[in-house]
Amino acid sequence: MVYRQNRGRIFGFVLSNSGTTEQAADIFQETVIAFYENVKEDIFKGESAISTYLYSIARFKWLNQIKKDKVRDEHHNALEQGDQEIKGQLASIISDENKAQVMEVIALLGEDCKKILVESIYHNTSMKDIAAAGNFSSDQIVRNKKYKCIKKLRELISSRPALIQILRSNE
Amino acid sequence: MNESHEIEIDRYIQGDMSVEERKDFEHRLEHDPDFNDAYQATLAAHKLIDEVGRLELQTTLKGIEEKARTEVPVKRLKPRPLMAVAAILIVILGVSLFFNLSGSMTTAEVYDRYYEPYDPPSVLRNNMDEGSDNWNKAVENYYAGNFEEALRYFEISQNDKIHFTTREFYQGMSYLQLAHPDYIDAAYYFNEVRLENSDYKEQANWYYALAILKNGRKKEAIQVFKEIVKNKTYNHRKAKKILNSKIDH
Repeated sequence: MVYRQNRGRIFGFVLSNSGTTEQAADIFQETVIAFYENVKEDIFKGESAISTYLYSIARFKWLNQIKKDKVRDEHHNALEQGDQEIKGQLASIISDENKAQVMEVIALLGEDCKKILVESIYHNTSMKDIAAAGNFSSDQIVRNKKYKCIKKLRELISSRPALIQILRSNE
Repeated sequence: MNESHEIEIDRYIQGDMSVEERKDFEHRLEHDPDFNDAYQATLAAHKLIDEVGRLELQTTLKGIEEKARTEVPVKRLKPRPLMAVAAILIVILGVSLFFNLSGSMTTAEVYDRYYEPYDPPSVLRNNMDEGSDNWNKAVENYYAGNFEEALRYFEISQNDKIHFTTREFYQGMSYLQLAHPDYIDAAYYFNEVRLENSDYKEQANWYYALAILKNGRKKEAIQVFKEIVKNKTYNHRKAKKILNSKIDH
């Protein structure tokens, strides 16, 4: 019920502010991802209701989108106030044209390395939990594997200066 | 760059360093260009993985949305695809439960979630370290997982050339890793170390809090976690997460 309302509310906000259904879906997905990351990074502390927080993120993201597009200036000025409650980073999804380069490197890295690194670095899953889920005999084995994978990934990235630029520009 | 540098950089990025370690690390970043390059490269690798994590999550959410659209075409005017709602509910509820925004954990569950053994001790090898036999035997047993035996050698390594806080810290770690862990003895050694100024002070504080929490001394443990958060010492982010949890006995 709570999440149905959130989806409806966020879609409603985007649609009533000159957005399309596709854009509303994108904003909703980015909002859920940003929320997940803010919980993970301890930026969201549960001081406001989840629905209020999700709505604020969506609002902030949509207004930013409008700003970037420089298409809907009038709406932007009218709606800009009141978004100070959103603090910290709000993750943006990398653009489609840059996605290919990221995925190329990941394909070269291999599935096992990708799994370990995404779990450990992105989801902050403990070595112990990764070991248990991946049938590794100990967390030390996962840790060693992780460092080998990072090393390999660094080598793959360092031979691609354009990719480093992409990663920097998406900060 | 060797593996210990990789580990160090990773710990810095993940926020797992003590204040002293952070200071040393940042000093090195400023003064060692090769180390700085290695750090920047690892940082780029972490950023790339973050992007991949986001893309995977986005793909999952898109799949949910797509599935909902194709399965419920007649409900076009009602933007309430049940599959999407249920799945998003699961994603966010999962997040909430994982981080205990709404659920609660027992002290034992908190311990199991947050306890991870500290990096093992090092053997002393060079000529300067002669007379460290007992310490080295303790370390060998520690690596082999023979913690009973490691404890025996740690105990008699008092005359070896190793600082007593290092020895006591690993005595505490050994007690935590026994087949039947002894949280009382572990807490005793960690307490000894955390009260002294040494390289292991902050780490001992963290493990002390976990050990007494596991032992049911919840109030005291909470106080120590608060100190850790306040002083931003070793594992302060994890301590903050524990404080944000609802902990039952």
